[in-house]
Amino acid sequence: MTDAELTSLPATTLWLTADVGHLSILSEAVDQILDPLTTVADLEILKYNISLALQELCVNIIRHAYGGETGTITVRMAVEDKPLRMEVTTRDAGSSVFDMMNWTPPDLSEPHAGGMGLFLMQQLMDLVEYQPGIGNNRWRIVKFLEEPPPRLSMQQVLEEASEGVEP
Amino acid sequence: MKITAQENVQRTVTVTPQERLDALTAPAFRQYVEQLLETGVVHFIIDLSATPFMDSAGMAVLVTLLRKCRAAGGGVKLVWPKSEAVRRTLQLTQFDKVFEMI
Repeated sequence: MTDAELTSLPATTLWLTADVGHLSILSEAVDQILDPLTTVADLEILKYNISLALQELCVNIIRHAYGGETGTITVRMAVEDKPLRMEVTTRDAGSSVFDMMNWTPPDLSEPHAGGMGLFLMQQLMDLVEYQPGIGNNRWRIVKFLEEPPPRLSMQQVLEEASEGVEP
Repeated sequence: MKITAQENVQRTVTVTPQERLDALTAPAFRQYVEQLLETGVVHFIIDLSATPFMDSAGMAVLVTLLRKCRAAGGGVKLVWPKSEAVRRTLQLTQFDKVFEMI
């Protein structure tokens, strides 16, 4: 990417009512952010996968963190550089804490109606992080838009990127 | 010579969702196919060729329908989506192994 393109890497923040009726805007926002990155390979697939992961995340927040209660979800989406990646963070004030440590992926050999949301998030994104807090749950999902430098593993890149992120 | 003949007709209904199949629309889709189940339909073709987006809520409806149809001696076939991204999601979740894909 050129310097001019790097300085204009887009970011946006959405404040959503915790209602599944308001989630279609997520795909539109992901498209608007990533459409300018015309040199990224398989951009249409990437946009879809990020939109689907974000959809699954927000549905989980609405159904499980809020559990039917009213609330809001703050979604921040940004394209970051070195390596080029899409960073999405969400914050919610849901009272139910997700037990990620004891979550097990579904057995895909059997028809499975539940547990697919987080499974899809983990398969579609390169990183899925969850940080519970009293009235301040935080998720961070990351998708690389290019390969990280060979000397760094993806985990190293993500750990370095995390150092600058507020808890 | 005595000859008997029996005609077996299997009723199969093709359902074609043409919009997003997600957490918002899944309840209406579920209601639609369950109404068909109540009329005795146990063989379905769900034509996903025009489905632009499907999340786990949409997939859950398909799985539930498959279970009910199989329990009643029927089945569910899925038509491959035209969208490459939706196709990949079906492969990722191994829906293409669980369902008969056409």
